[in-house]
Amino acid sequence: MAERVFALPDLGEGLEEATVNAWLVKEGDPVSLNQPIVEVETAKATVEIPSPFAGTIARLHAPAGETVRVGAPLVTFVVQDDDAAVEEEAGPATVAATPAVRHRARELGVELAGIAGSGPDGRITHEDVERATRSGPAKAEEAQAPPEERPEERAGARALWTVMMPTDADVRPISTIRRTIAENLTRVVREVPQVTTFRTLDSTELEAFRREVGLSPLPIAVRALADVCRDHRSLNASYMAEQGEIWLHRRVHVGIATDTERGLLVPVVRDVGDRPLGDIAAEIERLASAARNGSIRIEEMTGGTITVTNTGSYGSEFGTPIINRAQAAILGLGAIAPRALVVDGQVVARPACTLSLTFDHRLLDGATAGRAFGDLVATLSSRERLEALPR
Amino acid sequence: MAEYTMVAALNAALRDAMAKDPRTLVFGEDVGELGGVYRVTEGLQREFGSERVFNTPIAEAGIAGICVGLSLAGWRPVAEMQFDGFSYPALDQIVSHIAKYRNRTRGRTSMPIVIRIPSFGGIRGKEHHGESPETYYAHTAGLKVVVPSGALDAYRLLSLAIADPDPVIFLEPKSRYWAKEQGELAVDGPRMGRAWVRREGEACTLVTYGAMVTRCLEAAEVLARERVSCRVLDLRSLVPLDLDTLAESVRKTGRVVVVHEAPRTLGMGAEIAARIMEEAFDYLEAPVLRVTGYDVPYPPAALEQRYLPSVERITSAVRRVVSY
Repeated sequence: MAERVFALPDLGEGLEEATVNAWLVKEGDPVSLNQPIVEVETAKATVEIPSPFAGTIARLHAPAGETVRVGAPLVTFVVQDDDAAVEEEAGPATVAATPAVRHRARELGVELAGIAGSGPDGRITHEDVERATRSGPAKAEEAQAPPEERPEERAGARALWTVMMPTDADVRPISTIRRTIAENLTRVVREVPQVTTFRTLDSTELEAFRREVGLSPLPIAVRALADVCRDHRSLNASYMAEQGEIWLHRRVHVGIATDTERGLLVPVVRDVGDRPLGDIAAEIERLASAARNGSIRIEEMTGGTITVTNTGSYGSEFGTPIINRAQAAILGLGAIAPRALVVDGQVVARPACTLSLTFDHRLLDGATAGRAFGDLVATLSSRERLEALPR
Repeated sequence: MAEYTMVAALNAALRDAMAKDPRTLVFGEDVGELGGVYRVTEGLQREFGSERVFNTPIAEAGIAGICVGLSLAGWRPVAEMQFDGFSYPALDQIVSHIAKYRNRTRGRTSMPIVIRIPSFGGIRGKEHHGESPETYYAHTAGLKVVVPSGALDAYRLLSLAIADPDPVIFLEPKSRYWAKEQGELAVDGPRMGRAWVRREGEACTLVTYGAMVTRCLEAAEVLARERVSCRVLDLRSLVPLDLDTLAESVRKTGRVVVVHEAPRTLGMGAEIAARIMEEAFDYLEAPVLRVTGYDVPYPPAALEQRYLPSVERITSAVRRVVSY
């Protein structure tokens, strides 16, 4: 018997890392050759990796959710000795390179077998060969290399050609915050069946009340939402697919989607259900300015259980926002403006807005969400209920 | 500067050749008084008489057979097949006799014959009027095969073909017959057997001939706007192939797309791709791609432009090799 370490292979897309989505085997499991053992997620796709050996799983080197670099150990197998020998005797892996690249490599005396291809389908490019001829740590040099100047030679330009996009764009690197936003949104859109439902809110009472208390509609809606969450607990919940559980949160921490120069940030107002309106308003104000001037701390932006986004702040009538990770819903507030509403059989001009509730359909059925949404609208359109909110 | 259609340029080449050499004869179906379906021989009978310019019966095997006899008797025949699809009855005479005579006589007797065939599609013609017959002839040792792409080169190539001591199959792209080109008619310039770089470029070479030269130039123009510069190589001569210029193009651009109207299977593209592998393999940055007609009988007029390589098909092939 012998141990064989299997490293995360280059998945053929020139990617440098992958995240373990789920192990399909556990330590001690016997596996056959080509049996799928793990599902990993790269920036491009989710891929099942087949077992390169027949044998037994000795160790899994990365728990689900962890990101593994290409070439880092992924799993250790225990295999029969002769299987190990076969592996050692196997010839070098097939090298993909165009004739011109092979020719150049011969001229430079570079061994292609040792090079990881960065071209399409893992093909070794001229640049890979040139890089291999340089001495020293390749990564460092790569990082210091000046940006390429001819736009048609940029890697991205290749991708754009296929959709006939112009390739002379001004190019900026993706900032960390933009990447985080993109990754979170993409993941949620991919994983969560979410739907949006709308209600028109006659805002007459809300407008009158907010003027009386000297607040904007946002903190009032945030507090009203927290109260609705108390009665409709699946609105303030997390669908934990991997654990096979639904978590009904006891407290309501409301994320407030906040537009900043760096991008969208979502600071969280904690324990909204225990706070009076003025306090909530002040906290939203404090968090928003901290988010905008960059002084906000990471713990002030985590732990939200539900989110409110004020699409009306930039004039939109309503939005279909994407819910945040591990949350059940996001409430969108549309712009309040005079509208023709039918009241007691008469068309009258009333301040009104459209509310949107986007929810995780795994957690909430349409009727459940609709009832909760109805309660929220009832609170916000009733002077009596608004007056009952703690100030 | 003068302006010529390909028809006028071919007519001038015939007239000049007949004036220069009294052994030159022109014949075929309706080439006399009518001047041919496309009027390429218009006025020649009036000028040179019906003994040197004459109609034949509708019998293509006979037209080709007459060429053999007249050559043996010391004449220089320039025959016209009325359409590509009608040239096939003459294949036996062309393949079995015209192509082989020099070899059969151990070099003593050559066949200074030109067989002009209005060829290729793009004219909304019926069956037999859109064929690309070049491979049949190019595959037959002993024949030269040339295809002009424009009026001025048509004059040059036909003049050179008539002066050539060996049989030349002269394929005229019908869809370019009435396209005009400015310049002077002259025999000077690239010889027969040489390809001609019609546009310079670095990213990819479009290898083509006949009417597809114009289409490749259009495609190159589109690609230039995407900063993909294409070299356009007009082969002019399919036999012999200008391997030097072909290999030079591969060395220069590393990528090649071959464009022709003929069906893909065993078309000129196959030969060109194979030659590139033999002559310039080490310089290839991508597989050689072909943009061709499909492996189907030439379609009716309504579907013709779907069959012929379009600018879009050409540009997308180039994008593929450039981003390979």
